[in-house]
Amino acid sequence: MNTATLIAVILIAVILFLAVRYIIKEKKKGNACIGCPYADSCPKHRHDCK
Amino acid sequence: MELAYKLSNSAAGKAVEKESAGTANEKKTLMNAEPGQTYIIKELNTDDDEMNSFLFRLGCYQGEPITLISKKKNSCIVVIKDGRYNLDKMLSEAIII
Amino acid sequence: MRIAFAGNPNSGKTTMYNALTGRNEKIGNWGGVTVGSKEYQLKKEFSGGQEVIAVDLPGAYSMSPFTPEEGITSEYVRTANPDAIVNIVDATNLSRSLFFTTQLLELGIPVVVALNKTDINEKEGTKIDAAKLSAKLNCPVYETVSTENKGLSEMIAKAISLAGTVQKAPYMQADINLHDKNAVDAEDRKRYSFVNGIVADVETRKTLSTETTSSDKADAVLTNPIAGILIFAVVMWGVFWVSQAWLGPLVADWLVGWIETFQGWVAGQLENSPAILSALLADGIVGGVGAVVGFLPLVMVMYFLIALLEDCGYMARVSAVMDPIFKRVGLSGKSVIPVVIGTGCGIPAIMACRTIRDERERRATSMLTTFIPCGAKIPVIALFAGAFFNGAGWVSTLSYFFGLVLIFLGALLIKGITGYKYRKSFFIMELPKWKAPSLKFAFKSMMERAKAYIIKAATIILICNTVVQIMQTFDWHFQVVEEGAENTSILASIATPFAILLIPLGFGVWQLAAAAITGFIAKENVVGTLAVVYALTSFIDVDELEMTGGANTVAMTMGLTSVTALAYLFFNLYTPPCFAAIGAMNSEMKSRGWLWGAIGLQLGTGYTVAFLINQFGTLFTEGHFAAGFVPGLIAEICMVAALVLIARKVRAHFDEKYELHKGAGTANATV
Repeated sequence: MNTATLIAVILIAVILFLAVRYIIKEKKKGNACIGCPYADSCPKHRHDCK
Repeated sequence: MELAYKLSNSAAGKAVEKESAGTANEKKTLMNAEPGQTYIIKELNTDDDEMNSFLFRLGCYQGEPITLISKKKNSCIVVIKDGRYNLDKMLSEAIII
Repeated sequence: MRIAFAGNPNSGKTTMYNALTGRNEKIGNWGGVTVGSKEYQLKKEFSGGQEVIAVDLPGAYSMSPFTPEEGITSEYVRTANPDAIVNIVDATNLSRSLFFTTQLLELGIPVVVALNKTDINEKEGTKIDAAKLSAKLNCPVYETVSTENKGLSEMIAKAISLAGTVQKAPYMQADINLHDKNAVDAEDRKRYSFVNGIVADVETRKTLSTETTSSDKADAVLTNPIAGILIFAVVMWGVFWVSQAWLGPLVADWLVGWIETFQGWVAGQLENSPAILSALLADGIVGGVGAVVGFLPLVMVMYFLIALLEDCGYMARVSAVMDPIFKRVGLSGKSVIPVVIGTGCGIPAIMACRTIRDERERRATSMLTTFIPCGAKIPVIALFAGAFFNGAGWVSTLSYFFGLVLIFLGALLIKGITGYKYRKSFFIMELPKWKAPSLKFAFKSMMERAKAYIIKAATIILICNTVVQIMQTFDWHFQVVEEGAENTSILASIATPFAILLIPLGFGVWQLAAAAITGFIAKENVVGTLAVVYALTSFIDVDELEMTGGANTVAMTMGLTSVTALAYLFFNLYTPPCFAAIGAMNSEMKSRGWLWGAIGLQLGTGYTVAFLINQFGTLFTEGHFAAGFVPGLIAEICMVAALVLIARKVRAHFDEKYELHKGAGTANATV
């Protein structure tokens, strides 16, 4: 395995890991729509107010 | 027709007017008003209580002034208590002045 | 500690909320922008170190709600017990605003009045004696300009200091039977006389509102049924042209150039590595995500322009001028605003439907509003316009215009199915004062949107592309698929059954089917997936005008003709939106029946439109129907049959309801 391959594999792993981790963190916060700027006022996530 | 208009200023006339509610021909509605003039609202004929209350909260109720700014075939723009509103034809015809 | 922001619609609550909390919630110069409550902590400079939460509420004219979002406000202030209320009052309309103010003052919760938009008053020569007003209302009154952060710190500091005290009301409503309409009317009148008295005392105007101004003359033109609509068409065409045919592509070209170079470099670095790595990193990740990010400039410019439009006050005029047309299809002018918001993102558009009072209209609008292409669909439109139609501007214009047509047709269909009985429908829209749109806010809004776009690209789209890439590279035995034997890959085998369904539409290949399916997760995925399955790099014309090898390659690789390309494009544009939007629809419909009806309508529309374009387009260009004409026709007939059956069922049910009500003496049947 040459250096390029090594770097590539690590890079892919890191990128995917970060992406998946971000999504899981958001889901835990209750944000079902990733990247949606209106998640705050989306009725899906409001349990207190109507 | 003339009589109906004259009577409308007296208490008895108001009773007559209330009875003939629905025949907009005999009453002046916002749609027959003149742009640029201010009128006093005589009655709201919307048949919809909630709508009446809503209009009330905007300041549109019996006895209050309403100014017609412009009039079109299907809508008109009015001033109620410092605010400008666009009303559609049905609503304009329901406001008797 | 919680401080609620309440006041008339379009008085500046959300702008103030944004200034105090640092958030960037949506604002717009018309009543009905905020439809749900939001809360966030105040910035330290305003909260003085304490933990203070600001709650932004939808605008309300009074405590008695007329539309659903007004209900949110009245319910909150009545039941959620905020520690203080900041009543944002539009200083240009004191006479109306104080009605709600006096009601808020009766709640016993400390109120601070923020007399907002005082800059407009200064310009117009309207003077309000704040000290006198404060004495009459029995609460502090501060002059503020929320767009310039003036007066905010003092006002909010006072609100914080008052928390926990009890407000004495200057006017109390008499104890009456709230069900007695006449009593309520009488009380409301008394309240208004009280308000009228105050206003007469504290306000002096230089120009009366009843005078016709130049702004009125402009409004007369803009609401003119013919001129107004033409102007609107021109304005929207301008927005699309600038964002998708001129400025957008200009910046995008530059960006795409960089992405391409980068992708090439990565591929070069991995020359000596297993091909799968190169495929995954260079094509899947950099290529796929890059393809989507390459369209970011188009989306950003569009959002900027739409933000300007929303801020200046034009939206209300558009709503007014489109009302007669929308009435003909069973909707109203109130439905126009969700449609315009939908050109940005479908989710806030669907939520904006909450301002529509009539339930049937509200549900109809929320399912139809996604026919207008949203920001996520722009990459798809731009891709196909660039690859198949020489980057022509008409593709984009047609997509939006046709979306509007579908909204009308869909509305008519819904009207026919639900047996819309005549019912008095009233349209009233407040026309706010014209305002020079804030470039700062538009820029902020654009950047927020850009950030969200990039996050979405770096997470969802990235993962989707990776998954697609993997599914495409391996077959079920986890062996790498040979060149030329792509049909054996996991992706191909999953997508092929769907592809068969799409044959009558002209694009029955598994690659395109796969791309369309990934589109449900995010519409941008269509572009990303296509980039992956066809191993394509550049999508946008790098050269100014001509079709470069890039575009031609795209066309050839996909095996689509102009006709089938258009069919595929429209299929993706007019099918159900992304899952997030479907979720928003679900929350608004509050009914399984309507939700599935919506999804069915959208699927049916996408399918039918593509079918018609493909078959009749092929007939026109090649003199014969395309493959799968008969099966497609059968599918269409089934759809029509289903519609008729549903219509019958709904109408029968409706008649029943109507009968029942007739018996009870009320003629008002609301579906």
